[in-house]
Amino acid sequence: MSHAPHLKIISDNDAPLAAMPAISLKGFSAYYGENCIISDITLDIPRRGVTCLIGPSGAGKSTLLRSLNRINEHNAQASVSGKADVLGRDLASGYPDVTDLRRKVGMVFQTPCVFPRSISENVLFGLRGQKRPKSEKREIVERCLKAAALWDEVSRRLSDSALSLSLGQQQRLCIARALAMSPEILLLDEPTASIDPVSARAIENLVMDLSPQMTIIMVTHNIAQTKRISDHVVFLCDGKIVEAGAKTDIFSRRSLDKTRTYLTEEFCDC
Amino acid sequence: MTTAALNTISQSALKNRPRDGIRTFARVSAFGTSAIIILILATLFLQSGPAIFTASDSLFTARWNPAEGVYGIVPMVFGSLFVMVIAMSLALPIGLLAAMAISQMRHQGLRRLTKSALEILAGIPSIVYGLIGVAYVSIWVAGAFDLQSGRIILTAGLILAVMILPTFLSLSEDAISSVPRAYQENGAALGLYPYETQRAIILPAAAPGISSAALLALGRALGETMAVMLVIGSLDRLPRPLFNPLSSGQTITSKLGREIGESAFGSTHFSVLVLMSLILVTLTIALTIAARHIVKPGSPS
Ligand SMILES: Nc1ncnc2c1ncn2[C@@H]1O[C@H](COP(=O)(O)OP(=O)(O)O)[C@@H](O)[C@H]1O
Ligand SMILES: [Mg+2]
Repeated sequence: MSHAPHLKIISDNDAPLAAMPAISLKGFSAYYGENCIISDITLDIPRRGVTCLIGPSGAGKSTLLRSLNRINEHNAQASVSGKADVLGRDLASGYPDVTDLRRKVGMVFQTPCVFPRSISENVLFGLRGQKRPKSEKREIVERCLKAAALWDEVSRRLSDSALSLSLGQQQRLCIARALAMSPEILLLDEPTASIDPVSARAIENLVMDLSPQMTIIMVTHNIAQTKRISDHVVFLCDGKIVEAGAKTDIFSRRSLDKTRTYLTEEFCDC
Repeated sequence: MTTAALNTISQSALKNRPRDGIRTFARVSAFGTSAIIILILATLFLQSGPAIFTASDSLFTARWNPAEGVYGIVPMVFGSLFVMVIAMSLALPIGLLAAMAISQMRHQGLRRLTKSALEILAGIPSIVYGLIGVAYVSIWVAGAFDLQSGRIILTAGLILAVMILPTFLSLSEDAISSVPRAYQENGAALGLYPYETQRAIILPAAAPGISSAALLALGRALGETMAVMLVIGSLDRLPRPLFNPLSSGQTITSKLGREIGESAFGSTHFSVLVLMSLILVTLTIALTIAARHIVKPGSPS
């Protein structure tokens, strides 16, 4: 489980990848009713690797993440403005059928929410309506559960209810479920915040293992975690980007004072 | 659920002496309810005795003629079931689809408005529905099917469907809305259309609530008297052919509504009417118990 090589895969001087960002925001804002939660941000998130979204509570991290797969459209209050490109297509006009976008941009929420079904049905849930042979389905279940570091714990009880799993296992099942869609981008909103430390570590490791093939954007409160797993860091405060860059830059003396204060004291006065 | 509530009450009563009063009250209520049910059943049994002894020859035939001492109750029992089936098979699918649509409303104000409107509709007295049925629906039906009279089984079924729809709709919407919203969001995040998540997760999770809503609707459909009496045509015969909804008919309730007043207490006629109401009550209780067993509460949590 050596993850060090992955860190080299993206960096600012990795020209071809940096040239074609997975997500590109220009003057992007997000609102709840009249309240501007994300105000006029401009940001490129590179293809592949782990981008950690950090910042104090209420900074708008979840709001930003939920705008990227348009899941916030379920909230009548929520709206966005500005330019946003996801995988080279405009967020709104490029995806007339929003399910198209969500199949490319998977998401896992802070609180694990498995469906009251068996473990394997949960993994295959997003593939409903697609006719596939049983053997292929079994393969998908195995591949995704292995990728989500859950296979060893559940391989002998795939038809048990997913509700019988521990919370940490449920969260990994949610990740497996998202992976079954073969997304190009995976959005993780504090995936380790509500689970036990051992499972949290397992998720960190699987995120690092996935990062060479996938763009992972992960919201986290945990600075140590950011240091362990990120390739890129975006520091968000009060709806604005304070600083964004490669992890090596952010965790160095070159970073802004405000960023360093937050990284050491987890405090931000903006 | 009631037992659970009683348990909680009695547990807190153990710790808390002043709450002993609540425990007693809960027990008295539980006992009182059961006693009332038993009393009703016993009265109906006793009063329907004469019918079984004196009218047993004709009782289970399809002919009703008190002048000749012929009391066949089959048309009424059949009529009740037929009207109920028509009403339920219209109200359930429409109500369920509408409940799903309302639970999807993003505009909460509009949703609340719809719900209040439904509750008002559910509260309209049945005589009003009967009036509308006589004045409009039966005439439309007569025109549509080219009949001499629109006071037929189909009209009764239609009116009943409209009457039970608001309650069923409102209660099943409650059941659907009480399923955690997170399921909908997690389904959407997997690229599913809202209806896919609803069909696969939300509806099964809401099934116990929906089925008790259906049961309530069914009870009302079987028990409704006034509106049905006004539009069904009051014909004490089986339809010909049997499942012809365009024929006039009679339900147990419409029969009772018409004749209880004019039959002498203690007569065979009266006793047969009581027997019919006993059948109605038994039917309702049986359906309640059956529904409890069909729907296993597979509630997720
Ligand atoms: N559904 C909502 N409706 C209205 N305001 C909201 C909603 N969700 C979040 N907010 C507000 O948006 C701001 C940012 O929230 P959020 O994006 O959840 O922050 P973070 O994830 O960084 O902690 C907060 O001030 C919060 O009160
Ligand atoms: Mg958040």
